[in-house]
Amino acid sequence: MKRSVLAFFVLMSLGLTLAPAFARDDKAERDKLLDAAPAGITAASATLADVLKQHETAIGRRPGLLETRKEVWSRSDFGLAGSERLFRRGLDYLAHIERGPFVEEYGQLEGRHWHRVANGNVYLMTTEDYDSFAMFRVVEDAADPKNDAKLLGEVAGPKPAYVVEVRRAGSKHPEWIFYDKTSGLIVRTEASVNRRRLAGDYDDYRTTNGYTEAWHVHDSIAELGLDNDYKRTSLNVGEPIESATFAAPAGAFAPGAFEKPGPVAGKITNEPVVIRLTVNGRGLDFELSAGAPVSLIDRDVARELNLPSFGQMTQTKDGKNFGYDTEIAEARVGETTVLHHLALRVVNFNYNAGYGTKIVGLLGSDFLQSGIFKVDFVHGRIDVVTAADLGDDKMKGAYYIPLTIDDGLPLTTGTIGGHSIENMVIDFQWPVSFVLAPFTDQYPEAVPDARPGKSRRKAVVPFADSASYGREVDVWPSNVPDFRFSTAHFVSLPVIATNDSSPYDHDVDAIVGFDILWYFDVYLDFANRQMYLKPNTNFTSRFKVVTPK
Amino acid sequence: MTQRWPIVAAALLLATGASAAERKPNVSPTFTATSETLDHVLTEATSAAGTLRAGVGSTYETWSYKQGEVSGTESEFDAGKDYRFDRTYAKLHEAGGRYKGRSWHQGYSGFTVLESGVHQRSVRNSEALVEASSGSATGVTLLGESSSPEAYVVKVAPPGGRIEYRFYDKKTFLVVRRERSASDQLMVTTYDDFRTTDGVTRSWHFRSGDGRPYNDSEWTMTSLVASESVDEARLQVPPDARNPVALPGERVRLPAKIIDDRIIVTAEMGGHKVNFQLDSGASGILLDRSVADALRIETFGKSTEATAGAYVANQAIIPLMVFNGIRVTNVEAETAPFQTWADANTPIAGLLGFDFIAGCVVAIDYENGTVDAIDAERFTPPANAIELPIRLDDDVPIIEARVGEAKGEHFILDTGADRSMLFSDFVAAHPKDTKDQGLGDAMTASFPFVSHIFGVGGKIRFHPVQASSLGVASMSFPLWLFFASEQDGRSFEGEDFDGLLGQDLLRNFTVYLDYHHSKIYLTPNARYRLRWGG
Repeated sequence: MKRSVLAFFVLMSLGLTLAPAFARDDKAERDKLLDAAPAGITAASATLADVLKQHETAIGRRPGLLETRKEVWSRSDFGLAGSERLFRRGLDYLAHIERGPFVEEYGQLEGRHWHRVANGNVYLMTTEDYDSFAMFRVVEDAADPKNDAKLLGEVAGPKPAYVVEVRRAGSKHPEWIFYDKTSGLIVRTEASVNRRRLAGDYDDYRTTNGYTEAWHVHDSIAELGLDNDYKRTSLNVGEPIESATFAAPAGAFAPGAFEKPGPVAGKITNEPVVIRLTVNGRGLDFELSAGAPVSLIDRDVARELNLPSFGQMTQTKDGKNFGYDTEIAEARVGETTVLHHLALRVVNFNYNAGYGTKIVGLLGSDFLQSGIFKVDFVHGRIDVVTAADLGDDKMKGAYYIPLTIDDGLPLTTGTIGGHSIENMVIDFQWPVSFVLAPFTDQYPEAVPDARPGKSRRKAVVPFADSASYGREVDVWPSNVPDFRFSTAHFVSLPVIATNDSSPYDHDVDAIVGFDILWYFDVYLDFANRQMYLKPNTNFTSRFKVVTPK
Repeated sequence: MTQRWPIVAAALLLATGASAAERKPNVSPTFTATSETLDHVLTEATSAAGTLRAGVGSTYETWSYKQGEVSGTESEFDAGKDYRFDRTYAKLHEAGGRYKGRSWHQGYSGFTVLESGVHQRSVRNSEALVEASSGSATGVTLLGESSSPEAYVVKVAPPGGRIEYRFYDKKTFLVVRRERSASDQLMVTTYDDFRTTDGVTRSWHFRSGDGRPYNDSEWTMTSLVASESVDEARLQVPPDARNPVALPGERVRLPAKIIDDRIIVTAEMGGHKVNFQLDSGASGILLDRSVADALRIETFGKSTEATAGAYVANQAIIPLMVFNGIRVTNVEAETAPFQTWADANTPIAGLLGFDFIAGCVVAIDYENGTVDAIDAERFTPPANAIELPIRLDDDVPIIEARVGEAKGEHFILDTGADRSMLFSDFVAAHPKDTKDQGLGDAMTASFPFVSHIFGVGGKIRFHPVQASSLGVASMSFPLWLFFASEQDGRSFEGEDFDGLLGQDLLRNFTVYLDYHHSKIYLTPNARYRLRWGG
């Protein structure tokens, strides 16, 4: 899809609730606001064709993809100041981004795309990188015959500009593009993004090798007080860049590692697997998740611990909480392991997991690369083990699960009813196991409704005169006749099936949750991209193990 | 004997093709060296196949077959280069043939379509084999010998043809196995029960499949009769058998709206309203399976198909669809999981393609958001409209277009495609004309990841390309932005097509789809005039 100015203000990963719940009257009012053209427009004598032609001439020759580029930007993301070094050669790139104390890198070499997160882990990723190119815009929507465009007029002021209104297919509200009357360059865009009005301002245009582009980009949502700012400080075009520049580096969980085998401070209470971190002498219970891409800490606790925000916005102008990044300078796990500069995302995340256990954060797949962990549901404990404990002799009878970790999300493969599932999450954070859409839509016979005489289909038939279509998430119990992953073959496996889609920012077909994992000792060796499920006494008391002849 | 394909479509949301097979078609079967020569193998093969006894003017053969869960019959009447076949598939009937050089087909819905020869790959292969037999082979090679079956393996891959491997039995020199590529899928056919009748030795039994569930078929000849006479009447191109679309008047406004250039038409079916997207790129009607089930529409047969991804489809006959008094009766449809949204209030549960569009003239006013059905017999093209001759070989409108200086004769005019597309073979054949003029690269540079669009069954990878121009009929549009599908999208692209011309073009016109006269008419609207004047 063609990217417009709308696609660049990426709030999704930054913790803002993007679809604010407006009341019905407010919705209508907001629609009006988002449909209202910018103020101060007066009639212009030019035509749309004149404006577009002037603009096309003004920007000059666009560089081809084969031109190498090395550029440096200073950037401020919601108050978090930093810089970005970006090296590019065709589709290959390396983006080195420093914000506050956090260093992240993204890269791509010959289609192999990777991400080094703030805690030092390096992941391949199939999802897209909305961070490195946030300042790059293709604002040619008005010239695209797929869109309706009209010249509304011009605005006066220090930079008189023509204003073109563009209605893009698929967009409810229009966008407006301001073309400098003198230069023909785009100096401002206004558009609606997630029901808010986003303004982008462009200036400091410079010409390099015949192509004129803005060296300063500023995005803002005024009503929320959100601002992002990008200033290019250098640009070199055409210098050779070695392929090695773009290759994924080795990665590791930088805050620390579990050097010695032994029990980990924590417990298993009912369902959550809990790890206790001690910060400034205070014990904090974190839920351990095998499927969470990042680690989190609760906002209230972060405030109580006086964890730094490094200048980031923590609340919007209208008083709503806004997620931000922080770090814990030193955290102890048990007596021997110390983590330094542990980066976490601050969000609202707390709940009681039984008497005396308040969960105030989540330790995800980044943390799980600090050692090899054994989760023992029978004895309710978590241990660090050694590589030798995963030897063939020790793992006899265990199921080996190869993993790919896609930007922090551990995935494996399997089949249901003979149909491949490419994206399966194994995570005890989920109390039950799920099979999700689109798999359940594509292969409904593979996840039959276990309720005798009931059909789930009535709720989801897409009749045009049905009020329920698509608005109701349908959930039904299913005894999946044939579920395989690794060498495990489950027959008549109870799961929850749903026509809802993945709860992750990634396609996921199925989740193997606590209800299944409870029958195993779970060995998590994320640094080596593998897991083992070794049947425990829950398993042997529940299932009859059949040895293939 | 022609293989029955599932509903053929070649556009954004429906296209024939395939996904995984045991082996990719461009990978040779296993063979060992042979001391035989191609010339000798083909000479022996020609001799083994025999020659029709002198004096035989025509033959009539009948077959029974089973495909997946469905049984059917086929009859074929042959007279030299002319032929006609009639096939039943459960409750469906279809026919086709060639008479005096004119090829045609007729589906269950009754429309007779003259074929213009868009697909020539099989013909090229046959010609190449004949040329090879006479010693002037191009693209025909003897690879060696296979052990199972014990056969000589001949590769046939002429320019403009398809990759095919023919296995000639080492003892009889009869063809006992064929492996052919079709839309990046390997179709395997094995032959046995050879019998000699009137001088010709043929297989009376064969099996065919592409390795995907439900797609295996087994054919058995049940009779073969030769005659010295030729019944010309049986061979002639028939008129339309029926028109399932009955209009209550000369021109009827369809209950339709155009949302983001997608044409959504609402049908009344079994006491419910069902939204379809009007899709000229669909060679038939597709209905979401859950709707078919809820309306108790009988389905039969199963096949695995692939467009943007693989999916299991059933056949069905929809007894009645009503559009503001327009009654569409007993039309063939395919059912498969298909649910999407035009907007937050408009679910779409199917595609309305050839079998509806061919029954009338469909007039689409993109500017005012209206869609009319017009009696094709009484339709008069609007004055000053731009006339586009179309070819309907695949039951989708194929037109000629120009990209830069490159001419493509096989672009599908596709109301279902959000944006025009260039297919990978066209891009490969015309690198200069499909070289990006800047915007495509700029878009990629601003987001250097392969993007996807959604089609039936999955996603298709593409990258943006700004061509120097798009030309249609006498019109030329400068700097046109296309999506270019990636090489792995061949099952979506189908065979022999150059690309899609979609809503980005069509929205600038009032469009008249007149399949009955093999024409499409375009009348520029205000959008066109705003951008390009005139």
